[in-house]
Amino acid sequence: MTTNPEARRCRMILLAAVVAAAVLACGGAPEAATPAATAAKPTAAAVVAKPKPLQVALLTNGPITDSGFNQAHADAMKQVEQKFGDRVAVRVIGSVPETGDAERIMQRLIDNKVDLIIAASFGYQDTSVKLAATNGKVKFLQAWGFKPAPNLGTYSSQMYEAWYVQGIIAGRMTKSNRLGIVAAHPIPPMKWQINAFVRGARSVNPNVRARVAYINHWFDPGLAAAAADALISQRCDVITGVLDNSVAVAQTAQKRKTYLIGHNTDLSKFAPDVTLSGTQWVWGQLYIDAIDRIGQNAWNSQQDLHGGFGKGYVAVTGFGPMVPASVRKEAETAIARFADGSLSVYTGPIRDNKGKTVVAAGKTLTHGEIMGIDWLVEGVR
Amino acid sequence: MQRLTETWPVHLLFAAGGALLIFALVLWSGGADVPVVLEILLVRSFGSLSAWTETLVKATPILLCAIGAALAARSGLINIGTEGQLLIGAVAATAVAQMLATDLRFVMLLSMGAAAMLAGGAWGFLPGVLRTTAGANETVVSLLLNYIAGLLLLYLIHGAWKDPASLGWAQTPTFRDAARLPLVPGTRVHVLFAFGVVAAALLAVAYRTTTWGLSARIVEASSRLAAYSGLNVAAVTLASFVAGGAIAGLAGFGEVAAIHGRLREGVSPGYGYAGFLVAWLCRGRFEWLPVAAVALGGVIAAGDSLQVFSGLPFATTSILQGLLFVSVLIAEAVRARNATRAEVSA
Amino acid sequence: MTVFELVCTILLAAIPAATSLLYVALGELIYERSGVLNLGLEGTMLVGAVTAVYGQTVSSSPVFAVLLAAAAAAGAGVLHAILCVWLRTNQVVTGLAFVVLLTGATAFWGQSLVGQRVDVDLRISQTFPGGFSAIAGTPFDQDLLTYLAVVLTIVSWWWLFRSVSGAKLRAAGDSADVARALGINIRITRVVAGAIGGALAGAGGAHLSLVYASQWQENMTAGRGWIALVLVIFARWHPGALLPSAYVFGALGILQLNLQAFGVESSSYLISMVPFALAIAVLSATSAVIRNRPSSMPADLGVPISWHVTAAPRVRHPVMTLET
Repeated sequence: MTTNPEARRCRMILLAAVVAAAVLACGGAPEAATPAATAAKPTAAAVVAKPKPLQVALLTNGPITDSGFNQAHADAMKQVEQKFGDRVAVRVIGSVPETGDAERIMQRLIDNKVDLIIAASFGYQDTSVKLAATNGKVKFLQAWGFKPAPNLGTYSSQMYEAWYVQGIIAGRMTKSNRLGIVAAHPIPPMKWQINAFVRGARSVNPNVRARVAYINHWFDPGLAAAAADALISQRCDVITGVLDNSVAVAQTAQKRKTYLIGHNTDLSKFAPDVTLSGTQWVWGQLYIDAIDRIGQNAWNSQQDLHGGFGKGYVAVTGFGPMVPASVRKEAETAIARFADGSLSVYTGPIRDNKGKTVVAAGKTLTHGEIMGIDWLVEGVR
Repeated sequence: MQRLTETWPVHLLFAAGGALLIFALVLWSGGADVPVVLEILLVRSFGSLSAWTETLVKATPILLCAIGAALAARSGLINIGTEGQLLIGAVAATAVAQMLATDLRFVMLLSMGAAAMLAGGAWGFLPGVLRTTAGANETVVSLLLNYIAGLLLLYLIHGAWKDPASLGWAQTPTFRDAARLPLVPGTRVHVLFAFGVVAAALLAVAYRTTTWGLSARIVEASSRLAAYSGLNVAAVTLASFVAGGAIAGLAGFGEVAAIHGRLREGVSPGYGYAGFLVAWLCRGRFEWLPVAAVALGGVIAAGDSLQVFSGLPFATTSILQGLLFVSVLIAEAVRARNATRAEVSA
Repeated sequence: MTVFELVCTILLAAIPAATSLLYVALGELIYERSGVLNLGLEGTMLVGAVTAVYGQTVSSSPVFAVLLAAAAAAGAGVLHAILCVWLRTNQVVTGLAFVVLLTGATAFWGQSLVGQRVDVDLRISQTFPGGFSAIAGTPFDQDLLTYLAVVLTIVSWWWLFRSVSGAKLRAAGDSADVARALGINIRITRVVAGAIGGALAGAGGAHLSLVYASQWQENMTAGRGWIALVLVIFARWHPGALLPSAYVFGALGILQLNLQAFGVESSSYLISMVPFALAIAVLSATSAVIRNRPSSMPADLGVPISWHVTAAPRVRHPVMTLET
């Protein structure tokens, strides 16, 4: 009965498929062996760790190997592991969609006794607020959040300080007085970065103008490259990408021999001849500060985890050889002044690009107000 | 009598086994600890109550979209536009939620549901009417309309409907309480799952017993034969497309009103396509749709336990799903081939 | 910069933007002409994109990289054809399954290639410094793959409509019954068309990863495979119409970026809808008016060939039901 020809054929086809896959798999093995192996091992080790480590899980919405925003978070968790050793067990979960799926994944983490959930994208806020309310023992950290709860802290990075410094460099290096910015979407999280960059540039060179091209996708390297290309064609001679992943912008800058300001991580690898400098997230220090408090049982959700150069939560990457010493000096001075609080990006008077005064003279925007900026500063077109 | 090894469940088991085997090989090629991963997938995925209820949450929109696809299929046509019909239903429900200023939950939810069904039905009407009047391929038109619906959604949430309180993030403000579909306490399961099961059951009966069912069966078998026998083929086709669109639109209402509480990007991570696969898997038989939808929902929900516990990248989940689909396709092809052979030799 | 210069800039920028679309759409056109619909282009293209970067990394030879990409993607094309032609699987489902499977597989196996710097300059002034150095900096200094795409499109035009084997391929797509009566082996024809279609989609992916974006990232096609599908419909299954259509689509894709760079505000979402709406209009109009003209949609597109000629009365569009 089981040996009828049809059933045998069915099994043979499946077997053939298996063999084909096996051949493919062997072919694919050498190139792929390392990353998955290293990805799998730490978690396996963490499961058997001895004195009840603090279980930390970090969720990001993009691939954690993107040389960009998401990788910056994954790198930060490596710093956390180095710092605390086997006192923490870290999981980094990339590509978690900011949809209903996020709730299921967080719930699953909670079911498995995670102590701290770090939601590294603003899009998770609804979910983390909801789950924090029903899971009092679990601590949450919500990036860019503004709805704290007793077990839900918020954190953010004052990246605009680093952008201002980059603006100073760009403003000094441009010849055409025109900066090109590739950005993801026309929304405040992009706009407060763009504005800081342009304000920095205009602080040293009031003739600077900037052009912004929004690609209207969170992720499309092809479009990002095309946008950088379009900006360069419009005589922008320093370009940058306010994107989750600015690698395509860097590669285009390299190809078209146009100065680049990097973003997210050090991009000089992709644009060795043209990288002036770049901004860098330093989430590692921020997470260490937070986890340190938890370790000392001193955590409360009101802990101030918002900071820039002063707390070491942002940084700039190294200067390219073409940046003159005088400009470096200027940039370093600005960094020092941000660190000691004598310089701030959003202190009035500030006019938007329609001529309206948006920040009155002498007034300084709060961090919360900055996060909601929906205007572009004068000089941006 | 059909031999046991030739029955469809046995084919499915073979297919699932084959897919898992290849999946294990792929994992092994990537240097993962295969037994650990398989243990996570097969055991830990089902280790908690929430894992089970989440399966139903995931199955709800898939089931409604599958009904939409199966309705078209049962009159001999392909509707892969349930994705767009879901999205446009979500947009319409959101429009009502934003514009209707009432705190009467009953009124609000009924209006939102009706709007979603109307919009989904209209979105289904387009490929149907272009098919019957101009002869345009409904597969392609319904696919194209998915993109237009998606872009319309993006246009609205990045523009007129953007929530000023969300740091400019592209999403509408949260709906008022009256516009929230109640959930089963402690879970995210809501009434539309039951609706889908009942609808599938009713359609299964109607397809066998009513004149509509008979007309659809004739049109499915041969539209030419149907035309000769005096049936209005266009009417049957249009009715199935509009009804299918309306039900898929309702899925969009469920997602915004029950799960998200607002309209946002990614309201559907491809539920329409998943629904199409479910409809195909059941070969359009309505009574099997809930079973297959729950099974697929389970596979998807189990997939993220891989991501959470094994440290493997998100892509691994896609590989497993893709392998399952392909091996089921092969199993089905083998079954169909054997059936044809048997018929011929008889 | 004047408006005239802006128009010139957009037209120039459209060329590289259109190249990958042109490759993928041309491949799909040939495959569809043989009677098989492949919805899995997004996945096939990703296979090409990732193998091209792999080939470039191991060999530093762009020619080898592109050939490897074409070969790998042709493999995916053949697999699709074998499933759809020999096993008669449902073509829509097979295509969707391929998108899921190949998106996952390329992301999984391509992890180590993420963040690799891809340094390829295929502009013809660089590739053939002797003969073409004079055109460096002019609009004609496009990359090699772009020129090749145009040449292949014209060759395909000739091949499909002026050669015997092209006529056989079209016959397989227009009526499997007639083709069988003419002694054409439909299965072989369709599998070969699947291989060609896959290879071209792979070349399109290679152009995207090697030339256009200069990197590998998972899911980097970002919907281009689907756009290529629309393009085939828009061009009404004719290579002659495909060439200008691809450039129109390419230009629409980057139009809004260039308008912004020029300083004009515009909504990209509405602009992005245009190709889809146009494709529906074109499809409906041509289906209604010139349903039986040879340059329109292959009549047997999506129809699996029957096992036995005598097995069952021929059912029109059986693929349109879910029971294949």
